[in-house]
Amino acid sequence: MNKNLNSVTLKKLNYLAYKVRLDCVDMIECAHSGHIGASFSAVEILIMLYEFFIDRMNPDRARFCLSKGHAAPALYSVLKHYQFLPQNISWKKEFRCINGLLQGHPSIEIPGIDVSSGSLGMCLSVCVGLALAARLNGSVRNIYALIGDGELNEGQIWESVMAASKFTLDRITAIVDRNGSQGSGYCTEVMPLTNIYQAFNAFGWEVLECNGHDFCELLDALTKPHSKPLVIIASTIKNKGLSNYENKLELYGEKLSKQQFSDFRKKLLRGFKNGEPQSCSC
Amino acid sequence: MGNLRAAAVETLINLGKEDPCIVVLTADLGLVTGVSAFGDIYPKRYFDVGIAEQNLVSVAAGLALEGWKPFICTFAVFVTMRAFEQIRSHLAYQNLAACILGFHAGISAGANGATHQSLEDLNLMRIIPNMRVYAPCDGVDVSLAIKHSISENSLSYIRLSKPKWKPIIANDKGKSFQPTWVERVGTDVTLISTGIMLLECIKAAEKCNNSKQSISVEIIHISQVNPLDIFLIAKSAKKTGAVVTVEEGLKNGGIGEAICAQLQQFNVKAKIENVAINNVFGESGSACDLFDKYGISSSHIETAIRRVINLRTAK
Repeated sequence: MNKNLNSVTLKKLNYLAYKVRLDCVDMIECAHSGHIGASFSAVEILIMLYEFFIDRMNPDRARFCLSKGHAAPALYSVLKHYQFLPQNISWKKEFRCINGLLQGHPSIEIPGIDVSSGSLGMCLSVCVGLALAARLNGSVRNIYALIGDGELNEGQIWESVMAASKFTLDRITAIVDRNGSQGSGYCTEVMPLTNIYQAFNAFGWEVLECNGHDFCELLDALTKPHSKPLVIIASTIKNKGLSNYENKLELYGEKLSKQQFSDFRKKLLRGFKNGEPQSCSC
Repeated sequence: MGNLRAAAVETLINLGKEDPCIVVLTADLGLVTGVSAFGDIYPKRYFDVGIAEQNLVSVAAGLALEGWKPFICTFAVFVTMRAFEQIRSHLAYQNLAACILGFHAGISAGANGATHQSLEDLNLMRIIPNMRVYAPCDGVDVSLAIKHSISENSLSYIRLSKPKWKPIIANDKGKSFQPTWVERVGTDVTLISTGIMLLECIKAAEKCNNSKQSISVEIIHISQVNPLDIFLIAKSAKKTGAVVTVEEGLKNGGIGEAICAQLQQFNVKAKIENVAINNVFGESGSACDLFDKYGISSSHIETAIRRVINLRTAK
């Protein structure tokens, strides 16, 4: 794979990032419920995975688990753009509504979702199972997981990290969406994990770091060959694209006003026109 | 065979030969449960994740998502409680076909004491949607239950009590799994047994039958706790008007309570006693001593039978 993204592709990906964030705002406003910040910090990572690494048309395609399942709005938008979901899907009718398809957290009934998630800390273990299954099948498909940094508080994460190492599951790539905040506050205050790099390294994983909003750095990290399970610690910004809200705590749909949603759309448009959120190191 | 643990291991090994999709997982209890023998024969299909039950269950879910048939093998107390959420949200919520074998279950686990005795496993597992729950009475019943769980292609929990007692089902040639059956026909009282309590129930029934005021006890055995086949129980309860349920577990949320509730729905008017452990923790001891102290031995069952008959007569 050509690791340098040409300007046409970058332009397309930037535009897609803007559209995905807009979709998240629409979804969360319609439902009056959902997580803006957690969704926004994951956007470029998700786009990168589905653009280059998860091929809908391949029957033996890579598997993906959104372990930080509350970023579902971003995933649902990406699934729509990559045609796992119908193009005319109505967020208003389907997202977080009774009888709707798009559950508050990903569920395997939804086309394109490989693992039901939502309860934090559990899904990396499922990915270990998926990777063992792939090996038993004689498949070389990759298994990707997107994990939150607060999620690393959960003990089961480390059970799965140890297991992945024991079974030498080199087809697993976990991405830590390191946006620095969690439910009760900033990660450094709630439950500090002072050195994520060292923690994974000590458990025998390959560790890379990158800017989680830079498509080129993400591509570079995701295409690095590895003979052990790989974790990419992606530095991201909570509420990315919402200027004065960036790096603040979570914006919950239930607490936001119509005015604020409208303001978000304006901020996103302004940012897109200024060439944000994407800068690229290519 | 009276040894439920050994029967489970033997069945897994035999099934593993016929079905290459069967995989076995454990959490550092492969040697103690004996399932490591499966790993000796089929090393590529055996996974020990160490002392990590939550990981154990979720890893099994990953395998099941890709069409493998996982058997999750560890102590009942650890798998059903440490990993309850994983069973619920990864196996049951995704409606996956997997089988959880809860070894060392019940107060009869004995000497290890309260932290290792699962008094709650059946109570907890039976409330989970999409979960079949089995409480086999002996080794043959275990083998039949395992085969049944595979044929149903659903999520199952099979309780394996520890003691090696007298087998009740002679052999399994040509037999298929029976969720509920009439072990003994009678007219005066309906005695409902679950799991290994069948042996205690049979002893109690024989004592009642041979006593001066002979009591004719009908024994209905339940090997499949969920879904519960209430019809056979209701039919017998209508006939006798006096019911005693027996389980090796806590009264609260137990099978006795479930039967009471379901009999109500069938409008069955009967006096009912639940012989179960009275919402306390166990302690170290032999299975026989524990059954006696915690009120679920054949003598306690006999007393309950007499009590419920008196209540029925007095009404």
